[in-house]
Amino acid sequence: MSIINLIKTSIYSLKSHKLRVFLTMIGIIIGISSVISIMSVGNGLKVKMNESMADTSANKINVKFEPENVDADLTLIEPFSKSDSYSLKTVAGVEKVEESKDIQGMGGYTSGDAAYFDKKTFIGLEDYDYKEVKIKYGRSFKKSENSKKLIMLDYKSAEKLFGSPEKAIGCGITVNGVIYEVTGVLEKEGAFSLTGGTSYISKESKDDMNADTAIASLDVYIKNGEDKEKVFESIKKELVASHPNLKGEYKLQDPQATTKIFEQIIGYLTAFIALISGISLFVGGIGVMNIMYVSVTERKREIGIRRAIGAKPKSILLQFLIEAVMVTGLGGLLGILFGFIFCKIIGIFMPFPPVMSAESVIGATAISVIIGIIFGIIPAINASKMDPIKAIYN
Amino acid sequence: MSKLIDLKNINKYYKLKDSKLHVLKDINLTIEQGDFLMIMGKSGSGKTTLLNLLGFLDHFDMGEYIFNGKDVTHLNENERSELRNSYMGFIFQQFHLIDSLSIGQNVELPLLYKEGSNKSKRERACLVEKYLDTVGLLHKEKQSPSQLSGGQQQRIAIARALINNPYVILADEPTGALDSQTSEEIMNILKKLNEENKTIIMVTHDDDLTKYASKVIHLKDGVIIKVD
Repeated sequence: MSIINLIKTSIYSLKSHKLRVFLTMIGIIIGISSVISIMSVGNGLKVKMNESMADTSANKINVKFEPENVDADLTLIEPFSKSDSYSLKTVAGVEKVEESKDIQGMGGYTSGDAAYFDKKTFIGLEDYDYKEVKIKYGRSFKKSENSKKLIMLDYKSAEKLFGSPEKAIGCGITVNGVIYEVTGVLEKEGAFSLTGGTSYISKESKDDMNADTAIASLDVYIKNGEDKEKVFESIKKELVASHPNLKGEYKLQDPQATTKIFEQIIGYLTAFIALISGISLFVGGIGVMNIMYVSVTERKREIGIRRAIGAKPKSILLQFLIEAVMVTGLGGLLGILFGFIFCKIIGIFMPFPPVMSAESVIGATAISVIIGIIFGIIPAINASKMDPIKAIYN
Repeated sequence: MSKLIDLKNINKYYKLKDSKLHVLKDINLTIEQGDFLMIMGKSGSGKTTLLNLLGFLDHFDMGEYIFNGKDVTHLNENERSELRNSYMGFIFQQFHLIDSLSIGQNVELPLLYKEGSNKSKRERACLVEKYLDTVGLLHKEKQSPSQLSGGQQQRIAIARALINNPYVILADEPTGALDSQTSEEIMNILKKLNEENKTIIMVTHDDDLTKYASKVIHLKDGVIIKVD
């Protein structure tokens, strides 16, 4: 029998058991839709991460210094000097060199040692963007005062330095050796604050402060088409030559490499969770197998009749196999549809929208067809091996 | 008349739990092209087994089967299926139409299983119509088997048996489930087919039907006891 006629035959017999077929399909639908949703969420996460890393240009590398003694103070070692920025530009393949301003991933956050007479504390510092802050005592400073050394102290630090925070207003404290006037004390932050409180100074003050601190690392932009590793090697040579007495090593940090590792981890996690939700696919497959056994037993006589009028065992096998594949295949397609709807719904509640990739759609279709074959083959073989006499005269 | 079927010393056993049942004993039978053979006998005499064996549905343990001049004793399942499809048409007591298919699809089925035939949809529809006309049930293609009476269903089964233009029609008590009037209608169709030189082998235990036959064999406990 031709494939087209076999498919038609399967459609006829599936049509005569619509409810049963649908119930069998549910397992596959749930399995495929959950796998699709999870893969899409994972994809969405990857896409989102790539977007947020997009500002790290592909040609940028970060050169940092790792001292032999981990506790060594970089300010004292000075692994990078201002002149490095200029001298490195002459290295072949280098486009541009910049001092890295921020600690990676920390935004505009810095820190400093604050002191008031004999009391000392460590404070987190951010530049004040002149938006509203919650002031407990005193006042916030104005934009016109940006050149003055003013500080809004966080509640806890104020408490440490002055005992009672309200006494801090108008006093001068030293931060990293420079005297700042306290104009205000911020409201107490929640108990779960990670930073333990942030104090604010003007951007100008902060830039001044950073100008004094050591350069932690250099951002080197590499000319298009140059090999990152090779250029880094030349940079390293140059740096070692100009800082001969350092104990430690210059290292390459490729921001893209970090992205790639993250991507890989997300990929593994997604695959792992998808595998777990794939268990429901296995259960669905067992359901298909079960229903195919029932179908073969029920249609014993039909099998016998078909054999009597000349159907070869192979035709019978294909008939039942195609039936199973159609159940799982259709279940797979519906599962993809439901997964798509599910992703849209998840997208409303998530900070990033799930992204359904063509690969996951093709993969899901292939998987559902394969499940049909795996779980349909044994009942189909049974059907094809049935003795026509016994099947007819049962 | 040419020799169509030649059975030589056919023996068949049914394996039971700890014994063997000898169902057919040294059957020697020759069937000519155009014969109307009736196999008579009580239930358990082995007549249905003999019919199925002639139709390549059942196997035998010893002996030789020559069909149309060719030894078909040792054929595999695929070859037997092809022979059934091309040369044999089966009619059963319980009609055995497939309920999930329409009348037209039931009749068409043997055409679809025919190897190497590439008849178009239209050609197949033409043949279906032709044989439905032969059995007097034109314009019923779209109906389902359950909508028809027993006699009508049996006529559909005859149309299905005929559609590949087989050498032999094998009928297993085709009138067994029908009243006497519809039985006669069915027998008349078979008789007409036989007059058109179609070989018919029929199993029955109804003596009244022997008037249609050109040759009758009586089976008892797996042995041919009488040939008329």
